[in-house]
Amino acid sequence: MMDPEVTQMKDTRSPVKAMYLYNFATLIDWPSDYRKGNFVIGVYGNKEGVYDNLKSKFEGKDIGSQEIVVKNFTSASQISKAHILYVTPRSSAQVGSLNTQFKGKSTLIVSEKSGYLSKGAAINFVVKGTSQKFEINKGNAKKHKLVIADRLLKLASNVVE
Amino acid sequence: MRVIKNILVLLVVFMAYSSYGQKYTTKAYSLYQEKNYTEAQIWADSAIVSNERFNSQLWQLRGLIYRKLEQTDNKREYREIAIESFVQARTLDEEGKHKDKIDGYLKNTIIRYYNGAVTSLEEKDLEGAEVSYKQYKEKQIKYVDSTADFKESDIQFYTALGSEYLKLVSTLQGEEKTKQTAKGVHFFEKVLQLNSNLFGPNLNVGVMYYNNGADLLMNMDPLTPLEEIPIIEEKAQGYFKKALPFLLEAHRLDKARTDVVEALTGCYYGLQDDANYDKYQKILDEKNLPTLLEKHAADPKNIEVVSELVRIYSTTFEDDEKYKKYAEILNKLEE
Repeated sequence: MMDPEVTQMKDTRSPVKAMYLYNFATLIDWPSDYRKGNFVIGVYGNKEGVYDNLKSKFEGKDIGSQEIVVKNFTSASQISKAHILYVTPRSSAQVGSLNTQFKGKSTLIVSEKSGYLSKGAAINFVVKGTSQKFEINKGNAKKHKLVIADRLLKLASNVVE
Repeated sequence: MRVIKNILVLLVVFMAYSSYGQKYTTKAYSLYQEKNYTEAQIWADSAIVSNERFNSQLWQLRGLIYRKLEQTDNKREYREIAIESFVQARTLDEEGKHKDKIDGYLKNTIIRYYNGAVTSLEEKDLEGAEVSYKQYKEKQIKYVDSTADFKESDIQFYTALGSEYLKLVSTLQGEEKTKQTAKGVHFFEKVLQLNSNLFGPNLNVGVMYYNNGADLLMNMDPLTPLEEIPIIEEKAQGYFKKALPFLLEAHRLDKARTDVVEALTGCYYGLQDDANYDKYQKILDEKNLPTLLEKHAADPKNIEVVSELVRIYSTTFEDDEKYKKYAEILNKLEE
């Protein structure tokens, strides 16, 4: 009998998160000065599954008239401009300082650690039961002049005003 | 799978037909000996509508002729006629003088369905293989042994058939993959109903389900609408849940098999069950770490190996110093 085709374990969580990040890009309004040039989705922390998925599936696609570019940052100084900045769980401790760095700028900070909405992230990935969900802090989004569509708010597991 | 393709040497010892005044049979036999099977068929078919039809040996001969014709003309219906002829020969052999010989003819003709099933498997005609195997069993029960036990044969055949589906699904995508996976799973489950303690079928069913779930997530259409993402996730997790009991059983049967642990790790990861994911990932990492370190020493530029070391030292065996070391190496390699 043949051995089955196993399967180095596949990173099945990252495609879901990458898909949500792309949907965030389509369902959030950025101010007019962010609607020019490339649409930058940054991954802060080590390159890993989410970065790979974003790069392979979404780079080159359009958000309005802007082309998506996916970048990896390992230090805050590397980031000049980003529309979305996904901070990997291991780098979550940097969310506070990144929030300060991007004060007044329209960067959507997305974290993945319990309680990080209160540390400046506008969206935080959480697991509810066995599902990948996200929670939203509207106030944090507003501080960055970002307008979140109702469609996105409806699907959030928790919305903080 | 053991292939039973040994056809017994046929010893056809016909009596002196002429003494019975059986001219059609005699002519048919003579042509059979000359290997002129097409002509022999005509004479044998004439014999069975004559007074000679009450002779068991005529029907034996007719069966043999049709069996030869099946091979030369490649006509499956001739096999049926051969079987019917042997059955008629047995009916007419009231004293059982030719019983062993006729039973041998029947067995060796019916086994052709089994051989056909094996050939179909080799030719990747999986549905044809299943049909042939069912025919083999039906005829074996009907004509040879009504109490025949097919347990071992079923285990062998359906395991082989399931394995062929497993090979097939690895080349497919989307709905077709799901459809063929269901067939493969069906055959392995059939085997497990006969013997639930078999490692291979348990592993294969588990892996087929796991791969189905993983494929759903890995191959999601980038333009999937927001609302459909949780639906796809749930569907994928349904497959992971189905995979688990089979993989756990395979793990119970053979704890040393890394591929089972990999599949279990994948299932729990997909189910967001971090406690169990960590448990099986640790088993894997304990096993793989020495090899990874050896590989890194031999090829320090292998990004995949370094990535694994970064993951291991940042999760399973948390070690900040080693994590930083390999993360730094990884960053340089990725620059």
